[in-house]
Amino acid sequence: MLKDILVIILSLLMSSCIKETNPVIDDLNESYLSGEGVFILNEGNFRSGNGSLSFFSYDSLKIFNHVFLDINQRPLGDIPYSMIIHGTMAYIVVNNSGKIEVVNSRDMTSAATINGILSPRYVSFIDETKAYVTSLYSDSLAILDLSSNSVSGYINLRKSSESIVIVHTTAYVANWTGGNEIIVINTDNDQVTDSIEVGAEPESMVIDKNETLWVLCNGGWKREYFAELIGIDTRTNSIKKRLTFPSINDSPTCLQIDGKGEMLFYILDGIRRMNIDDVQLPVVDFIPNSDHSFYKMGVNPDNDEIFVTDAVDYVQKGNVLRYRREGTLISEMQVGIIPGGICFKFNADTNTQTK
Amino acid sequence: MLLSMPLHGQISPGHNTILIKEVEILGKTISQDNKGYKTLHIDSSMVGDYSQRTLADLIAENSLIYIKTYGSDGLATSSFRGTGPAHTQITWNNINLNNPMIGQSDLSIVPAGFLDDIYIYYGSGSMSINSGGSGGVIDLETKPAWNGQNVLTLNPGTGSFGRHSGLLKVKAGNAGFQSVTKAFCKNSENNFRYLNSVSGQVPYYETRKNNEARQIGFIQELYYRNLKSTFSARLWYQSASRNLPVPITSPTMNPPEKQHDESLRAMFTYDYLRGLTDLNFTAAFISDKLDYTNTLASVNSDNLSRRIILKGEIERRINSVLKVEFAFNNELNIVNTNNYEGIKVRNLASAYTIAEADIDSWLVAKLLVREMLQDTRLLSPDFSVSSEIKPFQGKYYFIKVSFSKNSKIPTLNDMYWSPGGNPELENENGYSSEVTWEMTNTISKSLRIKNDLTFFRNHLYNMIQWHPGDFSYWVADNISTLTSTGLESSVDINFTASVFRLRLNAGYSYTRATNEELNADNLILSGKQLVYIPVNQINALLRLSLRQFYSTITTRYTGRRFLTADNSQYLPQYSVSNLNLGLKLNTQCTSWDIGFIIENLFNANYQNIAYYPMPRRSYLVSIVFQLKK
Repeated sequence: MLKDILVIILSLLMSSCIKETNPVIDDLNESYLSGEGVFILNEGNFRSGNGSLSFFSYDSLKIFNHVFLDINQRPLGDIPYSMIIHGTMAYIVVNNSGKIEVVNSRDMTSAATINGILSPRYVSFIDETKAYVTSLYSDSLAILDLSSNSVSGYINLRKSSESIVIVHTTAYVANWTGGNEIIVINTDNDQVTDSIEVGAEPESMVIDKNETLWVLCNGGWKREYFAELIGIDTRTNSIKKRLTFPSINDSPTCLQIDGKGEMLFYILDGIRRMNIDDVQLPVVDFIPNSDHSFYKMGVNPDNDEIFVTDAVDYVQKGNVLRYRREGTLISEMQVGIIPGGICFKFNADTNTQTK
Repeated sequence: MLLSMPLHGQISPGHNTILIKEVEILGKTISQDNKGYKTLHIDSSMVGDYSQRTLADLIAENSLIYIKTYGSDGLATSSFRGTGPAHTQITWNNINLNNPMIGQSDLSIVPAGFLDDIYIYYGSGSMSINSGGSGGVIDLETKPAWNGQNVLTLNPGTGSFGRHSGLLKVKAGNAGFQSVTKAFCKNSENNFRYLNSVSGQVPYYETRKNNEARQIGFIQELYYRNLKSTFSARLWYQSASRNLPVPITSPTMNPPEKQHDESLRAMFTYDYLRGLTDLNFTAAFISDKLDYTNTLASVNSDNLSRRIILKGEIERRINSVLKVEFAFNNELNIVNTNNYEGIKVRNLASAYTIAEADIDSWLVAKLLVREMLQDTRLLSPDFSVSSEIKPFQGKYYFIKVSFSKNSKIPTLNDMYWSPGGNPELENENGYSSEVTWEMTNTISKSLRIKNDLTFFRNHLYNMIQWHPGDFSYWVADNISTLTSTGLESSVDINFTASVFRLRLNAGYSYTRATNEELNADNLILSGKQLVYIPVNQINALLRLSLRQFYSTITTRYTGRRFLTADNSQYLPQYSVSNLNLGLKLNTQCTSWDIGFIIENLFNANYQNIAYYPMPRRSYLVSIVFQLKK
């Protein structure tokens, strides 16, 4: 008996000396990042720090998970929300970590981390040296100096900001949570010049081939207002089309557009599609959800393939579904927890952005 | 090996001065004679060692209950046998303290120095206290000492990371009247250094920020007794203000998140004993205020719950074989919060009866049946059956077998949180079964060994889970099923030789807890271990005392805990040891206890919750001065 006790005590004391440096361990896979493909940002659970980055390779037709962790040997952070490639660098906005990870787009090695940004959501590039960062909680837009990877200033919006679209020297910024405005900024002097009243909670925006800004207003979570799809003429900043969703319970999200700038897509349980010239909202699904929980989507501007994320139950690993332009399913691949933002990678220096 | 593994059994004092307590008959509750069920008693001598620490520390080091904590002074909750915090009831002298909004209690803001005894009732054994504790009940006891001695206790403490605390106790009175006053205050900066391996290109040490905590508390108790009855009045006020640090994955995000908890608890108890009848009546009022602010996110959550509880028990021995108890409990909840639409009121009434039969000298059987009324809705009855068998005459060996159906009503947040609360939620129900083998061997006058081994199985269904709804928010539904099976084993060795005392208490638990959901999409999760439920845990406590010197070393091993429902990520196992060295000096009227505690003796870097670092090695000096008259 005494011998057993001694063994127990010694083993416990020895295990006390275990030193851990990285608390989270995940299965490792070989990364394969060369060639064209699609990045999927897995948000992970709020405050759990288990966000990750997946990559679908067009060369191998394989999906590679936790790419950032594998290459940089540290987790990506809490709620990676959006990603955009600019030249040879990619910018990953990690919302609840308050940072932007700057990585080399070819191999995902870390180049810099821009800290100290309050709840960042999207990055949009003005020119080779300047970008804007929207914020869920701050009432200012952060200005990034791309040469030093630092915040060089702020534009006071007096409102929070979500999606952003740049048209020539004008930035259109959506005031999503609790808002109903599109704020107009002159990117030459970083001054707010105008605001456009739209529907309740403008959630996502795209620009079409005619430089019409399409704004999807989801009506707010309390369902007090009808959701709307609004077209704004960016030459006059006036509303030229306003389509109201038929049910107060309709809550469309994630507006996207095809490569030609002609077809609009959004999620409303399934995926709906409409031409920019249509005068009515589509009443049937272009792609039914088929018991998936569609969360975010992206349309490849090069081949119009549609990538849709399925968050399943928001607890376990989700999936990404790849569809042809005509809506037929090509493949379904497992990614990380709560897959959200999608970013397309091309060999040419094409800027793409997640939605 | 398992049988030789120590389990935390009856905790006995390791002090070199032993006070033999007066036997109290009045006020004894039937629950503490929990025949047929596994019960753990942590007595005042062991509780006294934690006078400068929290209930979370005490439970973690003296039981196999898993404590999930966000770090020093951060939210700490308990998990029994794979169940969640809402399946643990924290009671104060048998009155439920769990906040009705969230259905749980924060063990980190309960100063252990306020407590005299702790009883832990596992699984089915919790039902004689209250319903809903499918995991178990942790009952916090405060009581008088009818020894006619007036005692003033001053207990200051200071330690690492800006920690300063003080405890005052005054016990005064005579054989018929007692007044007990306790006051506690604590300030902690909690600005410890930790290894950040997630935020930079290479791991680096940094200081935890926005982690300050301030706490004050006060208890006043008055007791009066005569030959047949005891009357007590108790008041407990406590307040805790804490800054809430962010996970280290948010290196520069320290939003001014703050939480302020404030509780006021008043309790009046009347015990009457006449012949073979014991009558107990308790009335209690509990007010819990919880304010959370995050100015950055414009969140200002104000929550006030008030409860009025009436509880009555009558116990009577019918004959030499049969003892019966009838009891009722009524709890009125009133909640005012800006997170609900309007003030919500809920009334819970329950009645239960217990029959206990001493069938033979070797066999006891017990039956409990409870019926609950939630507002106007009559719920399906709960029950518990147990048996205690003493297979060998003259030996203190026992087999305890129990089976129960227990139910837990939804929390008010589950029902009314806006958005997503679901007023149509049904009760969570579950069946629990367990078998315990317990034996105590007195080897010699100086050596006593106690072992026990328990196998348990819980099956909870209709469990409430929040899931994404039709809109952009989550909703609560009865969709989940939990099954947990496992074993607990412990050994407690006491050795005394003249002025030397040794106590070794250690335990091992194995818990397999899985979630089965009724959603076809979630079949992949079937059979996966629940998140933050360690499969393996080991505890060990070794206490040595020689004359006026004493030393205690405790070690906790916590196995791998999964972070994701599909078990793809996990936190690695860790082991943490604490060392307590002390010196006791006694004079005729005074006593001094000078203690020096080293927490995390081997300086382990570890996390109990992912990305919330725990302090590395720290120190605490405590002085207990007692003036007795």
